[in-house]
Amino acid sequence: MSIILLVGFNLFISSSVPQGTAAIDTPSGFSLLAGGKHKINYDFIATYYRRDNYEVDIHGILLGKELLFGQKFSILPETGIVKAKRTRENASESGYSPLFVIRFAYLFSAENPTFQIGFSLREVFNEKIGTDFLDFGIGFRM
Amino acid sequence: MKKSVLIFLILGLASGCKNPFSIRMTADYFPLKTGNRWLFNVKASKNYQLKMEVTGIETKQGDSLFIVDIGGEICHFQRESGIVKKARELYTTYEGEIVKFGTLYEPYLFLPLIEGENWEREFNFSSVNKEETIEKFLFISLDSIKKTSIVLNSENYENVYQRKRTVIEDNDSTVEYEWFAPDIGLIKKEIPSDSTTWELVSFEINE
Repeated sequence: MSIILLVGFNLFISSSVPQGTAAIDTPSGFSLLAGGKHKINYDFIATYYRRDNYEVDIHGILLGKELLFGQKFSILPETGIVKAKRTRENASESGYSPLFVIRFAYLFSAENPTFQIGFSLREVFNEKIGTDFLDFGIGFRM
Repeated sequence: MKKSVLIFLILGLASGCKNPFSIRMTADYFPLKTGNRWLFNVKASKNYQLKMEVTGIETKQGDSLFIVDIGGEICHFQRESGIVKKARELYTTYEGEIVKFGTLYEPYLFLPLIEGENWEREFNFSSVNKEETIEKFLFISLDSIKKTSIVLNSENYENVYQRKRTVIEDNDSTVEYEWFAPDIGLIKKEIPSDSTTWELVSFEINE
């Protein structure tokens, strides 16, 4: 079984997110992938983000299958469900969202652990199909 | 292999479903972009149609302000992360003269909208006029944010947030109820004190 720990940064570009112009509403966090039976990857994601007047907490589980190209490039499409909670002062609202994520990574040459760098595109399934979140991140695989 | 295909199929089908929370999470409830326009039917003592349009962006003291023409009245909105502010020129009349207090960027909307939220802000200003100190008081409160759906002109709007906004300026108070729809913005407004209602007829939102 392989384990990949990914850490995302709060870099984000989108036009379809609540805050509109110059919006940064994408909580990045960490993602722990484990390769299991049938080479299916199980991905546990947890993210937390705090802005001036609200905070967002997202966690969930995704399933995907990683495609490796020459042990250098990795493409990992995943789909699953996340629970998101938004809080401001005295109120909060939470719910479940289906999510599709595609991760692109470049793997550096090393035996163990292997360092990787890449980005992921996240699509929250709603009325419009597009890129809702774009995260850049680094990771290690063991 | 069959199992994984089945899992992906189920997740794929689930993903395709319209999810109200996903819509609320990603939608813009106050889209400000040049060219966006809304047309309202206004029911008051006299019925008429009112056009609202984002006509451009202006820079004032380093801040970008959206110019919104609301039925001929020019308003300025400032959009920052998590908040929309509306510019308000503050003045009062004292012994027949207008006393100015400057421009206030009052909180208009906190984004994202959250059900059950309420907040209030109080502002006090003073200005010296003919050696006399003139004071001004402004209080803004927002409460009763709730999720709802609404039918306007045979169109059903879902995932709508309704809110009540109270503004007390010196001794006058105004209560407004407003409804905001995802990726559309304001769709309805009620001002009970003068029995005025705005209802959206059509809109054009630039992507």
